[in-house]
Amino acid sequence: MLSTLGCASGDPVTGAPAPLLDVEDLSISVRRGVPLVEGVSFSIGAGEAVAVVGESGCGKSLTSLAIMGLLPGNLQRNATGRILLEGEDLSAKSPREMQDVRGNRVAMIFQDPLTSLNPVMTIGAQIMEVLEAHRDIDRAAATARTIELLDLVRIPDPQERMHAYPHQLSGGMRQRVVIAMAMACEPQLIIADEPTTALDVTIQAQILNLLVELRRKSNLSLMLITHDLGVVGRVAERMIVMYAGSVVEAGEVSAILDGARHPYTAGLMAARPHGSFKRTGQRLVDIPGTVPPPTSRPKGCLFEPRCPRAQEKCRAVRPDLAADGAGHAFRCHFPIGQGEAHA
Amino acid sequence: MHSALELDDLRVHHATAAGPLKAVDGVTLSVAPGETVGLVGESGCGKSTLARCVVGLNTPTGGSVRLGGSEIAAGGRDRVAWARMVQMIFQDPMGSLNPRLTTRHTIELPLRVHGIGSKNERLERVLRLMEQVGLGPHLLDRYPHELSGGQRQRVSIARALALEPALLVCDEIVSALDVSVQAQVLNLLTDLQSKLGIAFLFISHDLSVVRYVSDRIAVMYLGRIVEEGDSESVWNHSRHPYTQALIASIPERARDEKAQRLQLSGDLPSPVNPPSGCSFRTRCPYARPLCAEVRPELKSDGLPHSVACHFVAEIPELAARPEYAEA
Repeated sequence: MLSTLGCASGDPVTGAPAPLLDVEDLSISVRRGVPLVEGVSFSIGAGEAVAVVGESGCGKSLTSLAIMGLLPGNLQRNATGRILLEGEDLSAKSPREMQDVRGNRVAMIFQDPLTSLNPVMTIGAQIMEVLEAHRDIDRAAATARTIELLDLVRIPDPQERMHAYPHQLSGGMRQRVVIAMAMACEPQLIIADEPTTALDVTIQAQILNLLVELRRKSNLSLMLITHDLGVVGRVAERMIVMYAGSVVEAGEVSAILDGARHPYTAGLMAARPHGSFKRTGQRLVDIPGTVPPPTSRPKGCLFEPRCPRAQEKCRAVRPDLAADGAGHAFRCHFPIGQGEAHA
Repeated sequence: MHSALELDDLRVHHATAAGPLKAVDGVTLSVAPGETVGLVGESGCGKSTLARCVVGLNTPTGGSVRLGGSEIAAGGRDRVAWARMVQMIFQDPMGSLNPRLTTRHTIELPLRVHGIGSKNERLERVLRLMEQVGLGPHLLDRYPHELSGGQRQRVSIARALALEPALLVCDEIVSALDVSVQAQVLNLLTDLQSKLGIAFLFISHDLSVVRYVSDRIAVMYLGRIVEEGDSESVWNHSRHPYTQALIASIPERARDEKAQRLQLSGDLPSPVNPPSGCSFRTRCPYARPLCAEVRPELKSDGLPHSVACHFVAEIPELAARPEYAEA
């Protein structure tokens, strides 16, 4: 399915470093007429951190799997659009060629380290496996590099710890091991899919600090997938907000967090618990209803059924993703005005 | 009037090969009728074990649980009376709802078990409960897999309300929900409380959520309460280094490098072999030799809430540090 949404021109990167990753008009469908992801375009510059924000089912994880070439077969067949890594089209690569990209140039960190680590291999062996798969490297050099990587992610006593099994480590330590594996071949881009969602808040802070530090040290690009707007401001420079398979808002993190233009983004921010109900009696601003399932998405604006600002036009015409002069893009006929208080 | 819940020196010790695991180690806490007490802490601090003791799913090894003023004996006899006084809502509605029961049967089951009403009266009651939690009557014959996450959690809430308990224990009930749905469920809870006057013991790892719903907050670390009192006082004037670290770790608040100094390094020590004295001392920036010897008790010391720390007088409030000023 080819989307007619003119978002390539609405790409909010202006004057940003040459893009490392370019996703152009990516659509993924289960079958004809049931799109999960529709016309998603964005780019990530070298050394840049971009957050992809959205609720469950918005297509953020599918987008990342598409980049990694890890979509399940039935979805892979129904994926259209281009994914360019340094100008090379990844969607044209064979599975064998993609193996060289994965882990080597683009690496991924998943939410739950206990399921992404092999329970019957020591963590050292798992990191060495990555190195041996991608590099022509002997045992001694691989061991030395493993110790260096464990040290890089601040695991104390790496010579000893590399012989530990995942179950012998805490959740935070396990996620550090996953990050070390992702860093093993010095990739240009790391895709982190909810890397701290399964962790306690004090451990989450440690892992976020580590990601920020690693980026600064090694000019790494980061694509951070999260549902938590609080995490975004800590880590990323630019953000993309997705809703029901489409990008609804994109731009600088500070611009969006200070003045969201799309009612969905504004709704997400207002819905976060803040203040005290007991003291003020103030109800949270919730977003009524639920996300429309892919089988029955509205013809007009995807957010219209839940939108407090919806008008007749929204029911009839799906808005394009249009950017303002400052590279802040939003898909809305009646965006929240600048300076207008968030409802 | 009696408290909805009184815990007195509650202890739950599990025997393990390595020695007793002290999941809950001397917790005294009360919840007044119609009040919400928030219990906050990280995984492994014992908050869920405590919750399970309150509803009778775990047997305390020491101390007592009093509901509505009467002591509940551990073990079977009072089980039925117990269930009428307190009900629990769990984190994952998919795991806590029977996949083979429709909404109607799920909500009706407690009424049937307790022999309440005729068949028609029960159906009427089920529909009234569904209306109360914002579920349309068209969902009556749906199975859990046909409902959204938010709707499922509403079914669990309706089931918990069926017996009109005086106390609801909510264990991480919004953690698995998306932000927009989380706000809907939190609004529902506060509405229900003002209409029905139910008391809540609200357990969460998320301090912002706990602050929003609670009259009082208790912060738990390794089986003990380290700070407890009026929720705005705990939030704005927290004095225990652990509470301060929890607040400093909320991503929105930890913007700059200075803020990270208060964040914790290391992990929670094992509850099988907790540190001597103050259990927080291994991660505490203020720890001194005294902390290893004497376990600090909760005391208020002229503060508006109580803190279990020897050096509370020396610890500045977060508000006194510019990087934590309220955003």
